[in-house]
Amino acid sequence: MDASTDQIKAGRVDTDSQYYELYQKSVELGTWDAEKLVRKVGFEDDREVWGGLNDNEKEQWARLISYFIDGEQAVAADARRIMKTVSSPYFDRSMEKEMMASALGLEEAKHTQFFDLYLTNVMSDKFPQYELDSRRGGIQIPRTEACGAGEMFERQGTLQAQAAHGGDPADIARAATNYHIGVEGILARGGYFAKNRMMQEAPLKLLNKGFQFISTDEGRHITFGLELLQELIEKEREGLPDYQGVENAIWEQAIEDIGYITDTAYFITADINDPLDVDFSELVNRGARLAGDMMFDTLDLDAGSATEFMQASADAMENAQGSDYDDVIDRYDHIYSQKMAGD
Amino acid sequence: MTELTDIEGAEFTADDERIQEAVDEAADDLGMTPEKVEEEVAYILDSGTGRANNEGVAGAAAADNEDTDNDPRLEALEMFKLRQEL
Repeated sequence: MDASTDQIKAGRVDTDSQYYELYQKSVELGTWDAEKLVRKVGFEDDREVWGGLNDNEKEQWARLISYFIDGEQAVAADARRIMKTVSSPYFDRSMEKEMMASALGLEEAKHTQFFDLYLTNVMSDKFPQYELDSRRGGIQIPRTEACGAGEMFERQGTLQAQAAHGGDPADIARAATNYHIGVEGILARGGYFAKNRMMQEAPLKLLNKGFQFISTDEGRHITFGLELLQELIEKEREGLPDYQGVENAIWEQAIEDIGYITDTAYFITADINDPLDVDFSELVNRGARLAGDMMFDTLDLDAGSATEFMQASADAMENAQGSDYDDVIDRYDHIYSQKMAGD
Repeated sequence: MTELTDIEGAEFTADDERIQEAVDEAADDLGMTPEKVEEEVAYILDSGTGRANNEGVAGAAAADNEDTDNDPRLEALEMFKLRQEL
């Protein structure tokens, strides 16, 4: 039994900081070992369930997992830029933010590792072209390239680079909105909603456990991002000249991202007749509600309204329904084959 | 940090007594205080926000999980116990 739950006196680290609390919870909850998880639960049950699915059901899982593994790799790569951004002079200087950003980087790398292990050992028949890492001359998985998620991850890299390399508060706000609200708060959480539905028909036990650990880590990252955005908004509301435009930047970025996110939702559901019953409309509505909670309940954003956001989501749903992804997948399959062959 | 029984935003199917029993049992097994176990389980669900916004745990479990009655607090407790082995 732990000898004491009393707080331990610290020196230069501010243990009352909300960023310290997030960091400490990352240490306590986020240091799970992906290799131990797959060894403990095992691949066998999942392989059996996977083997019993028809091709359409497998394709629906493959579309979801494609954007998760490419997305986790993208956010892990951009974590180094977040470490730089949180030491920007536009934030109140604190090592606790940098400590939390470091934890975030480790966790995102581990999420990439988990999906890599899972895909390779359970779903490999749906990913004949997968193992070529984008750092070694590869590209995103053709399914990811075909849908809005692929564009969103590329946009994320640009925004994070702008924020990290001398970006002003509006640049930082755009990058944080895209990363923490868009990618983690809506695209990933929407994916968890989808997997919950899909698990009813196809209970992949190990995958579900992995998702549970990952979504718990992501929850802390989202709180972290919202705290950063709140700090910028407070300075704008105090009237500090450098911070003017922060709220508008958040709103504009959220509206841009909802198009990419909704297109991805369509791609993983209605485009393939939704064999595992996620429901495109319910998925988009869930995402819009999550976005509303973050922007209007937590951040109390004045730059837009929940009604306007719901309208933007509805418009994005209409746009998505005209999409045709097969040609793009074929084109990127061909590019991937050439890269694999070393051409 | 929020008390486990004060978290909002999810459907809880188990009564508070069952939650407390499960927390006490887990604390005994893990060699931790019940307060610490409860704190960790609450944080799994709300990430410090006071609302159960962990879609991956507070949403439906994989198929129907009879062991946890599909109560997100028990699901999160099971996850925490597994986490301590990893």
